[in-house]
Amino acid sequence: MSAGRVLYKCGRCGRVFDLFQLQVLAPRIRCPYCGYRVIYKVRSPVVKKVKAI
Amino acid sequence: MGKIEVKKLEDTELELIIHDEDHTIGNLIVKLAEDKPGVTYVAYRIEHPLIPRLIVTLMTDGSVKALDVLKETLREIRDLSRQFREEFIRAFSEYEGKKA
Amino acid sequence: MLGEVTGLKIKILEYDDRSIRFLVENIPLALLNAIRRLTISDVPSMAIDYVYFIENSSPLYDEIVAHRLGLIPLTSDRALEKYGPPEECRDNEERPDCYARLYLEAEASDGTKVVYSGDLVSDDEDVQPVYKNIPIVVLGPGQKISFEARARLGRGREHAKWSPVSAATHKYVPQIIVNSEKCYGESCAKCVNVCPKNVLKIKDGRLVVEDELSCSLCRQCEKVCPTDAILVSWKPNSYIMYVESTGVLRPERIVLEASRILEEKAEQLLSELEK
Repeated sequence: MSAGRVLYKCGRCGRVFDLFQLQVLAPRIRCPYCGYRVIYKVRSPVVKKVKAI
Repeated sequence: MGKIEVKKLEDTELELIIHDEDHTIGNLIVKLAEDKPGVTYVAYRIEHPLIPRLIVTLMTDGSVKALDVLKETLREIRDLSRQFREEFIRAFSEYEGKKA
Repeated sequence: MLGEVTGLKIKILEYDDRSIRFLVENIPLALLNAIRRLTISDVPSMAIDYVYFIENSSPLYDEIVAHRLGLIPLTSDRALEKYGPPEECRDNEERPDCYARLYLEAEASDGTKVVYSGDLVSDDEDVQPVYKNIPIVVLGPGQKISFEARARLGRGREHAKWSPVSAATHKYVPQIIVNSEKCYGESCAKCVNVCPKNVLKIKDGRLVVEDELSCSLCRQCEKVCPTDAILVSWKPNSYIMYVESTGVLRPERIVLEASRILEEKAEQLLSELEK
């Protein structure tokens, strides 16, 4: 939709990369820099409007 | 808030639907109207708690018009509220005055 | 003044920053109750309604934090005049006098940090959290939260967060009558012990009603009295009303607004009927 690039973050080395870079080592999920297997999805840069109810 | 729909309107009988009001006004109207001269029946109901719809029914014996009784009751509510407010303000200043 | 004709009389009994207790006489009970109900449902106050999240890595979901923010009491004394009425302002973020903005940015660099209501920064000095020590969320090391919240006027009937009162009650004025001929006094004192409000005391060997107005009319004293020497009743046409504020508005202001709203409702219905 309007989120721009989808970004991921490595759990160990902390480097941020996008889906394209992640798929370098497809089908395995691995940090393309240090090879760590725990990857977090970075929160979308869109401001989220929430009703306080 | 408070839009009115007329369900029945005759000289001696009226039934109104008031939107966006509840027991706050309904009970007050009934309690003030029931002892008024000429009133034979007055009641309110809310047919479903999730739908904000108040129905008021008022019947008279003919000596007064139903609509006039309702108007008089609403005037009384308006005037009593104003009186309450004025007396409350007076009582409050009296209290503040004593504290000094 | 009309009060002199109807005999309506009010006397303030207790008053502090958060509550007011007053005696009202010669008023239809239904009218007093209507005012009481309006203090809960219709007197407007300020509360956060929308939260724009920029970042939230806290343990709580955005929606949970937003819900908590909505429940924080915000000072509304000036806001009632400054901001537009809920009917016009709901979802109207363009209009400048509809929403007040509050910001918060917090990060726990090392160790745990608690984010409090006092950390909110408002762009209106008249709209501030009433209490600064309400915990909003706890951040662990490296966690961050950043948002812009928008507050508007609303009524309790729309959501309880907008209700300015924590308690609104009215009760009869108790009248306790002791028949001293039948009462055994000090030797019995069963009623003194059973009273949950400590209204009765023994003084100089005799039964004395010390705090009559605190009586809850439970009648336990009547029940335990072996001789029917005590009678619990109430003054006709007299009521004690108690209104406790959450701090968003002064307690007397709440009562005044409620009675004003009732007057307006009656006026509005009257004009609707002229059709």
